[in-house]
Amino acid sequence: MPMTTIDFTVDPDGVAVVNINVPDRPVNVTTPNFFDDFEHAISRIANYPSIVGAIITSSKAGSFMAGGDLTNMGALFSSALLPNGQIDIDRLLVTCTRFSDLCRKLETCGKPTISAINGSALGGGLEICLSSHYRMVADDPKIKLGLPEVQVGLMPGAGGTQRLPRLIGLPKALPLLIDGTLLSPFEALNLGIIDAVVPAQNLLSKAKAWIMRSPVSQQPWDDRKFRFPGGTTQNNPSIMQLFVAGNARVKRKETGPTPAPRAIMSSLYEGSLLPIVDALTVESQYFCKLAMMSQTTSKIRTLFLEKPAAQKRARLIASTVEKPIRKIGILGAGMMGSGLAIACAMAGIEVVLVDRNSEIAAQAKSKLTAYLDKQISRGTLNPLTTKQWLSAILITDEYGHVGGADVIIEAVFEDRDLKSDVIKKVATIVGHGTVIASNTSTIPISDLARSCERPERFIGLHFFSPVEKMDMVETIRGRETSDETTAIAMKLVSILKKTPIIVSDSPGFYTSRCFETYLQESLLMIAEGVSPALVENVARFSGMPMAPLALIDTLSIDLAQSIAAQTKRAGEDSVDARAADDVRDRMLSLGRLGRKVKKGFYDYLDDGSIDSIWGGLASEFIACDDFTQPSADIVRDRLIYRQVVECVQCLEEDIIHSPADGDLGAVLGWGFLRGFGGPFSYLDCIGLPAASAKLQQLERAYGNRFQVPRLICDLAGSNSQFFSAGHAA
Amino acid sequence: MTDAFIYDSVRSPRGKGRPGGSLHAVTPLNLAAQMLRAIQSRNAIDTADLDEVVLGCSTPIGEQGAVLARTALLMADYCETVSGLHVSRFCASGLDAVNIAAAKVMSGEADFTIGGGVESMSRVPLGSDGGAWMTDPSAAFQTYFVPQGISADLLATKYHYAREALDAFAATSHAKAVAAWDEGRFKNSIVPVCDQLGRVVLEVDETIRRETNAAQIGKLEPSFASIGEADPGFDTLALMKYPEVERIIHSHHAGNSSAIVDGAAAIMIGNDIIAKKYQLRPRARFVGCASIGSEPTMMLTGPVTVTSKLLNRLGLTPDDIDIFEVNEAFASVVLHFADSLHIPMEKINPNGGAIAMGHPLGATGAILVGTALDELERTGGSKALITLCVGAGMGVATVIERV
Repeated sequence: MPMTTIDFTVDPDGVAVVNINVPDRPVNVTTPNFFDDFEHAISRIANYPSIVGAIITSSKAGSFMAGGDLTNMGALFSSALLPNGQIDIDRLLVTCTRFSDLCRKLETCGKPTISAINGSALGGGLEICLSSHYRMVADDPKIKLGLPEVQVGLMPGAGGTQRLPRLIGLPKALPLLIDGTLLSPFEALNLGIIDAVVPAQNLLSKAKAWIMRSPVSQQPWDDRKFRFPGGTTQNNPSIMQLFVAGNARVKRKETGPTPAPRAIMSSLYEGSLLPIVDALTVESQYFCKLAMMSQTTSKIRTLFLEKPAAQKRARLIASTVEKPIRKIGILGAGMMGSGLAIACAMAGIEVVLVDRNSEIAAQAKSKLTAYLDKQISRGTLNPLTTKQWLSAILITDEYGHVGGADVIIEAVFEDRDLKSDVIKKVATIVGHGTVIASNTSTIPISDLARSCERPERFIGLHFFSPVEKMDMVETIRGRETSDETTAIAMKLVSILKKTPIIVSDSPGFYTSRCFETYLQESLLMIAEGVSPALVENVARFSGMPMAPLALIDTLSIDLAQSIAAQTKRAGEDSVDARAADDVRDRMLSLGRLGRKVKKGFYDYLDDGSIDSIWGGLASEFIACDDFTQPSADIVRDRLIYRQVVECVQCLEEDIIHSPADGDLGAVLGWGFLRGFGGPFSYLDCIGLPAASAKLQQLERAYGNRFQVPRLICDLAGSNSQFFSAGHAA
Repeated sequence: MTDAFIYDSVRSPRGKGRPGGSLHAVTPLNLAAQMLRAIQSRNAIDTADLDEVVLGCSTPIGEQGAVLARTALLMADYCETVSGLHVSRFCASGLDAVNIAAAKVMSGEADFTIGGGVESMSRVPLGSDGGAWMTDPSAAFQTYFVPQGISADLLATKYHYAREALDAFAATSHAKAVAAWDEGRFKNSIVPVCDQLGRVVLEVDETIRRETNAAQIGKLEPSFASIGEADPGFDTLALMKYPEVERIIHSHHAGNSSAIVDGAAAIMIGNDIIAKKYQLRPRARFVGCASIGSEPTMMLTGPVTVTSKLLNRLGLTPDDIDIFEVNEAFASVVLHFADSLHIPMEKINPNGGAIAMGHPLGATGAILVGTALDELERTGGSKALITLCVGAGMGVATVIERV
């Protein structure tokens, strides 16, 4: 059978060269075809007497091998799916173990093998290197080496958790695996992961020379006298301490489900006490267990399949627009405006950053400079290019300068009148072709469009703060927004490398509307007399990026109040909403506005850091006499399910157009249920019947805001779910 | 059921559990053997009559491993027909050893036993046996493992024991221990430890601070703030389990926690046949004993639960108990015990405890039995309850009654 992913040659001296070359892929990845070819290549190396040894390298510039093919995760499961919907564990284990078995075959093939690493070797790529007898890397700083599986919620499954510690010892291997650290060739050399760094042009000749020296063809760990470098928990107290402390370091970050670091820890702990063959079996089982968890696949689907798919769709829509975006006008030089200005300048767009308040405009300039200086001092940015970026930004208090801009982004304070006012003003300055986008997080776009002479050129682009870190752009089409306007907006989003979801116009859109329920539910609990520490800690430990009261303090109570007012839909004035408003009003009247005045739900120290929860909360919001504090589970359920219900309602109301958009918006927008891949994936993970039962309980105890959405009932009734089972994509 | 009686108790003085401590050069084997030899010779018993020697030891590895009880009894020149049993339940090992030795008599399996314990913390350090609970990720994750000091601070935070209250209690422990020594209240049980030449190396508890007071103790830095708040950050794990606690206030330190020491103890237990044979008068009777499991992250509330369980089973109330010996693992454990069961402080640890005199893990339970018995005899009391908190969330208790 001809190999399609490997160019296999043998030179006159009997040195086989295994050139990995997976077709139609920008980088080499491990596909089922590759496994077939790799097996074939190993058996040739082992069985052809004329072959004296093998060099494993890559035909692809820059990529030795990047590891697993995430788009294949779905196939992995469908291959092991039984007709009754259960997973055939034995079959899945065979699939999961295949690569590991091949790597073991490679290191025991009886001939010396060397990895000539001419491009980045990541995940499975590095695992191939670890199972060859010698590792030689080209002296190219662009090459990265590492086992980053943990970052996609997985773990190395082909010996990475076993060979790396056997090579460099547990103390060095553990953090690399837990953090998924990527290393340069010299860093890897210093750690002992690779054996040599050589000039790129000499890599193959040096590799061949190594083979011709007739070196060993046995791994150190297959030697009977092998001693684990640095010892294990059985013979070295400091390794015991490594695990005692390491377990806690991993556990304390476990807010939300993060089973991968845990599985890596266990694989290291148990595997290090076993001979390599048994250790590889332990690793395979943990890998398989991890891969079987529905949250692993759903997280991968959202972050690594849906996210690029959304970016691709944006590019497709944008491709209908030929005119480039050369100049952009940003109104409002606050945190959001300044962040956008930098992002656009970095993308090569000329920026005019306007703030009517000349003082704020002046501050923006020094803030931008300070931000860039900080990045330069950290080594993340180059001083020369940052200077160019800064010179591409004109900061002014004169609206006139935005004339000729291709796109305007309005990013002034979240106030309807103020926004209408600046939009009206700028609309008279810019040309007919200019798209005007509002960065409002709550105010209906069709309402704001009324301030604009050409509502078809008006659109909502809700960026998230801090712009440089947050990928999401919630894109809101107003009633009259034209397709061309949307396409231009998508072009900007693509240039900025952001991920858009397109949502329908309505108060609070998708993200702010759902997010507001998080704040509202926590305020309701405060009103009831639930311990604020309980609410804050449970929220944090449930995977919310920030505890609700700390968040309101950071937003400041006046802004939180305005968000609440704007997201309130017509006619909505529930008892619950009013109770939450009352808490906000009370805090406002007490002057406890939040972090900016150093007192809110928390007291703050002079340097702005949190001192402790304000002691007065207990006396301000007194529970009724027979009130008992709820369990942590109840608090968690209220905070999480309240948002989940709102997300599903948004899908029912066609505010969002697919569960995938809903997941992306939640995960990238407000970090909601990130560990599960978003709210819709979460519902699938726990099962819709179980979710319905939980919601019914909550509704009985806490009111009809927890009523099971129709869509959940329908799906559960027809035994289906939001995403099809067994598939990651 | 047969009655099990206590005929005698001995204990070593406790030496500082570090190099430089007076017992550091004494092997745990030798330390245990000296106690066994003492109890044999004080009562002139024929060790061939003994059925079992049960010794507690919390860290049974290295020189404390391989059933130290059997080796120690052989080293004490006991008859080779006596079997040895090692017991480990962390801090309660010594009390469990006594309870097992008593239970063997009560069940009729044995007529004559010794229960006791030994721990040489200066030689076999605390935690040096590792163990799956804290090192195996699967266990550490599932149980929210935190070191005991974090649990003690969590307990103090959750139940509002301020640093001042803990320090005041610690000062009292020293004051009571000083008074007890000055009045010779321990003399009945103390067996000085000797070197190879028979010279006494220690005859008093070495960690008691005669001059200390709450103000002085108040100057000590908290011991667990760094591992709790910084790296590896155990506080977060404790809060995950107890989210109602806003944050942990670190208030325990070397001065209000039990001292790390070396020590050993032995209790002679038998039925009434022994009394007749040796013309010995039973000093006390075992009324009952119990053990429980409690939430492992908070870890230290076991004494409350096990005391309730045992008293209920025996049909007793705290009022029926004259003396409570509650191991002073940490000051908060004792304060929480007293408040939870509404027991007046005067009845608890009247002669001080492990904060002043030290907690040789495997021996402490047996030491407390002897201390309680001596105090019952001195005061004319009837019943005493001995209890200890235990790692991983457990509790053990025993009630004895003077006869």
